[in-house]
Amino acid sequence: MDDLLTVDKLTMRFGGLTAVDSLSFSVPADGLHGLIGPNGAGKTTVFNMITGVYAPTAGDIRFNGSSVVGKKPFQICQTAIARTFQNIRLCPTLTVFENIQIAQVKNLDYGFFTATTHAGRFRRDEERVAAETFEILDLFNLRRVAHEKATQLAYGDQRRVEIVRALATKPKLLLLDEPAAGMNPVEKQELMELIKEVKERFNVAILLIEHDMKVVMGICEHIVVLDHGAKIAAGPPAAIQADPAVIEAYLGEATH
Amino acid sequence: MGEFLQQLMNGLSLGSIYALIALGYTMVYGILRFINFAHGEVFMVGAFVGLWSAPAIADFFGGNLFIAGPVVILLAMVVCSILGVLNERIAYRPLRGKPTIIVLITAIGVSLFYQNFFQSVVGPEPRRFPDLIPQTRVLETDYLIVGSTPLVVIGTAFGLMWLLRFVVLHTKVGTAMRALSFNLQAARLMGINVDRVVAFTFVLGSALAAAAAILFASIYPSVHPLMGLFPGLKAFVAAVLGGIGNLPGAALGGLIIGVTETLVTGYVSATYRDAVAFTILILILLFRPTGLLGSTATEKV
Amino acid sequence: MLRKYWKAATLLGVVLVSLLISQVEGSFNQYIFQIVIYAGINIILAVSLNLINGHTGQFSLGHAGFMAIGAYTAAVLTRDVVGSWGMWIGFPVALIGGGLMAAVAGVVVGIPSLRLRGDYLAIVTLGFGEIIRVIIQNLDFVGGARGFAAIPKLTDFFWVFAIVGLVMWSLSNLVKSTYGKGFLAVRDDEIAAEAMGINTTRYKVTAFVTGAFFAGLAGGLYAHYVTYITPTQFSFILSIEHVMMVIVGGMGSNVGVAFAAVLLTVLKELLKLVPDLLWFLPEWLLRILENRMLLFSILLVVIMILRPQGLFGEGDWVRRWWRKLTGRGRKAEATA
Repeated sequence: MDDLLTVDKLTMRFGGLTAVDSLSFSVPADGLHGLIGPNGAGKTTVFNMITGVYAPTAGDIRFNGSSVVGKKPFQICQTAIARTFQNIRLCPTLTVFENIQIAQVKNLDYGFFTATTHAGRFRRDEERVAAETFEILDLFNLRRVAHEKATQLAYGDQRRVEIVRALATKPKLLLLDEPAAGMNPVEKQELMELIKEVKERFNVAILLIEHDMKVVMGICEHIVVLDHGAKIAAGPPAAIQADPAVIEAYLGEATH
Repeated sequence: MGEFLQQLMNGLSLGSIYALIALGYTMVYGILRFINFAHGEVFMVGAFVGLWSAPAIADFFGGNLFIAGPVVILLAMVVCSILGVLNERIAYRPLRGKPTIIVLITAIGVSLFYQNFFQSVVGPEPRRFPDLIPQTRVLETDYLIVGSTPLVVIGTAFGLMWLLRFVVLHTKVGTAMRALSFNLQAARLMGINVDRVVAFTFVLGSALAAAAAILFASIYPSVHPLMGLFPGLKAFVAAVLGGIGNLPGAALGGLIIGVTETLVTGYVSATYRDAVAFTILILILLFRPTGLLGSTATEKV
Repeated sequence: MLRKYWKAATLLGVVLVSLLISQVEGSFNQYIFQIVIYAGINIILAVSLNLINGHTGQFSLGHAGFMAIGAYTAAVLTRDVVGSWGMWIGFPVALIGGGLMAAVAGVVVGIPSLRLRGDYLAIVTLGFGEIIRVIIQNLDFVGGARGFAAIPKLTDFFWVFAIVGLVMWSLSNLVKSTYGKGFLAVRDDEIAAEAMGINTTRYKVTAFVTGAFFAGLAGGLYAHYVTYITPTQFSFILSIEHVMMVIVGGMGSNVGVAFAAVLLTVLKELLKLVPDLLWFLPEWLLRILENRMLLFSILLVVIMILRPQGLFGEGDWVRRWWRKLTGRGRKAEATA
């Protein structure tokens, strides 16, 4: 088992409701996998368990060979899992630059007292942070808006800033929660290019939740389909598209 | 044993008063999600209304306290209802939807205003509240004396709570209140006149606080401009203890706080009386932040 | 070179000028001088509270409690331990001792902040402040409810404004650093901050401990200025005044909050003059206006309704003005 992420019989119950039911799948270190399913299938709940927002009722999540269950979200981020959110969560009073900065707090060499005095290692470390921030902003062509309030950007730009912020934590696994939501077809096309490029350039595995089938089928190598919390299918895009259980799940939703 | 029962009786009457005040906090919090800090001052004004009107009203009814008492309570309830609505209209409504910190500071400002206005205009010295409850001994045994006061206080308080329960559960406006506390935006979209229902909530809460004030002053007959501060804070703690937004919870919380406080005063030291409620508050928020009867709510990610 | 150290140099300058002024204190109008001292102490309180309420987005209503702990601890240290060590060693030790005790209380108060937010937290911190007050009232060796008298008057212009300089310098440094951006992230979106690897728990407790430490220093300064303290001086009304300074200053801007602290301190004194200025009003009305807290409460409500973002906005006003004055451009700001 040299998969980067292994989800094993993961179960989440809220009161009487089983949101995720004994789900197992894995993502290899160079994977670009998709997690799809109708609304309310439990996709975001899976993300929330992987990132420690929720503690699973049962089952295990192993990352790089060791379990992350029971760790706090910030500790999981420090083990190199980063995520974006379905409803963009950028810090509204901070600039784009500062939003990227906060992703680098965990990599700082200095601590509280140095921060209050600006002495010792401070300047060197801050220069490194600034350089890395501008570098990654340049890469995504976002330097021009570096000092604008993040939440005042166009919607598509906000989504990209959120991806950049997640990347700035230097993850090995990137979880994207509906990155294409609210984008127009042109933006979606750009996003697909972007995701593929991110995967190559940053050498990171990607697991994404997406509703837009064109995006999912266009870039994912492997897809897991959830319905009512349970895995109903898994495989490469072509197989998923032909799978009767998947078609049933989606059609079933459409007729409601 | 006798002393304990005596203390318990006192605790229950104090607790039922806290419960009445707590209901006002919990209703407003349930709907608008803010702590109406000035609620304690509405209570204080209620006591002053009683103080000023009781002699004349008692005179009018020829000293018959069985009629005069309820009339004084009703008058205080009416005056305080108006006051509560004015507070909402002038200070809180312009801030609806603003951050919690802003609304809370405003409420504290309103509360300070009443305290200081009364100190300036009426004077800070305590005044003696007239007897409105006929003093008789209802039960007298070797080790326990039950006077009429605690029975009247507990009876009135529970009667009013029952009335509130009826209004909230079985009237149209009560249903609207529950709808608002469930989801204010959705209720607005369903065509409920939010402003009117909020105003009515303040009417109910302030009226209960006024009644509580008359009962409180009948036990502790000292009326002064700062008298609302601690009963107000403690009643808020009672609301949190019971699970804020939950009406039976507020009543239960009030009784618990009242009894605990009376027992600590009686058996430990009166100087720690005012710390009891806050200690309970901190414990409950650390170990069961949703309160005894409250339900859990998680933030959506 | 100068730019690199300009802040440290400013701090040094403030300290030296404070020292100089403290040498000629006696020649100033004592009433005005007292207001200046209070303004300084309030700057320390407001700016340190700003770290908790403004930058970290928590809602503390218990700053007076931290101040009380600092005041009493420092007073006890001066009386029983360091009294004979002289002003230059004994007094700072007493002050720091007060700050550290307050910081310990900050840990205790900070812990509930991990699970609570908004007005719940406000009421808990208020409760802590009141509990601290009740405890002090029951401690005989500090005078209980009678108060603590005969504290030597050691606080002077130098100590107050050296610490003002220190708090302004260190806390502005803090929030400008990448490390300090973590506080702002906690305020803006706790879930996102946590997901980006920020230990929000540690940040919140750090904010409370740091804020409490400086409030403790301010308490020590206050005790050694008024020379007589009672538990009732540190009621939650005082905490509300501190919160008011933070809000008027525009939460999050240290310079704005410091301005507001001075403004409100002076304003509180000016309110005393209102009856004289409005001499033509009927006497009963003047008697009402003599109550400063009444005017203060009206002011509070009016400011909240009309300008809830604070008099100085989010500090933009101050920053723009400052930039214009010093000619420091946007570029310097961006790389700072």
